[in-house]
Amino acid sequence: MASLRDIRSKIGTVKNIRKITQAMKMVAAAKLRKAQEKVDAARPFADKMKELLGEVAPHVPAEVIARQPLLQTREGQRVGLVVISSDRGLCGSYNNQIIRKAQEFCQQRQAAGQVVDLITIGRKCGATLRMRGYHPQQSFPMVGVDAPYAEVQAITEAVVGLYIRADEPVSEVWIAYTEFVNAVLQNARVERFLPIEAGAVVDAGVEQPSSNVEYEYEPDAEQMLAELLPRFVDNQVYQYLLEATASEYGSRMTAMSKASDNAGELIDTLTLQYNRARQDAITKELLDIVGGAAALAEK
Amino acid sequence: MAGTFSLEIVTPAQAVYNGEVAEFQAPGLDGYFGVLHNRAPLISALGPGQLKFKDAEGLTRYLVISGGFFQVLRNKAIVLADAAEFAEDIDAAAAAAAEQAARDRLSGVLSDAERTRRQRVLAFAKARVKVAGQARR
Repeated sequence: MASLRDIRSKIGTVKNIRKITQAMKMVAAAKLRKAQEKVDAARPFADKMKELLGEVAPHVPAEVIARQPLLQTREGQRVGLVVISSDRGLCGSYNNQIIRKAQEFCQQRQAAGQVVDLITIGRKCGATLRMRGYHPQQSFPMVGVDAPYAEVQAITEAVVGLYIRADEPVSEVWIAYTEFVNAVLQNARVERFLPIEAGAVVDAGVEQPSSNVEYEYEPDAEQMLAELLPRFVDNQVYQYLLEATASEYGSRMTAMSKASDNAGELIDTLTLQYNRARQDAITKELLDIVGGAAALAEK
Repeated sequence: MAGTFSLEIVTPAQAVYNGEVAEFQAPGLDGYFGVLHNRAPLISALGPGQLKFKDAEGLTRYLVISGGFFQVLRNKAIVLADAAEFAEDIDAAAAAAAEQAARDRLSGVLSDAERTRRQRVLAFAKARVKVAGQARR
């Protein structure tokens, strides 16, 4: 049985750990709130963007739409996968889940004879995937909540580059990210990102009552579409990143909250052990004294 | 004075402005254009440059934008910009430094796509310096 002193120092250690996990939990909660604010702040732009795209697309002849590189579907044995994880650990199963999803995707595609080009965002998935024998083409650190939009554009450029600028362009780009449902629930998922479905773009316009208004276009609708699409893609990537950030903090908050609870339980158990050990020691001492006194009395 | 129309300026990060304005001028791809009350519906792409509007109180305000889109319909105008900053929020010294840095990055051998991209960055940096100057007037 551990000595009194050992137990006491162990209790001290666990208490310190609990202090740290509690602090991390609070930091994560604050950052989560900030990330959620960002998500809300970014929504008007995304909505307006979609609206505008829906406004312009119906005015562009179908064959022109089909010529847009970002809308073109093509056949091929190469697919791109963008994995979004965090830079740091201590956030529960957040990174593991997304990496597992990404790996499953890679294995499926490779089994089907396809080549997967990887881009990783966040140090965790970059390092883990490399260790498991994958070779990401490009790796970025995760962008923080306050990152300027330009940083996001560098990532977008790499992602779109896979699709339209690479020597061996991929036929599809998929994105593995963690969807933010609420602070305790996040879903790791893999979604197709490029090509943008032309149907979705045109449909967005049909639903709008104002789409029969005749606009003046400057420059013409076709060029406008060519300008709009890349920005639309930029914005989509931004949305994915924001969502992943919110998920990361949500996940970390839950993990740290659980860790604090566990530390509390551990402290309770250890304290019980400590008290028992102390009681044992007292009992033993008493027995010694009583035994000694009895031996003296017999004489 | 003629009527006003509502103007909304949004960037991916936040809504920059939302209010009634009387006059509006923006950098179109082929040069600056102005918008007044009851403008016919228009959708336009914007280049990097200075955006100017006169609000309902007659105060003229300047912004720099890095490019984006403009839409006006039934006296509701929307600017979608990648980045937008009010003149008074720009740090003039930092803007000048950024312009110099953008200029430096243009030297040397570059691919066409890269050159175009960096030229855009420079154009934005130039516009930023110019607009920063407006704030002090």
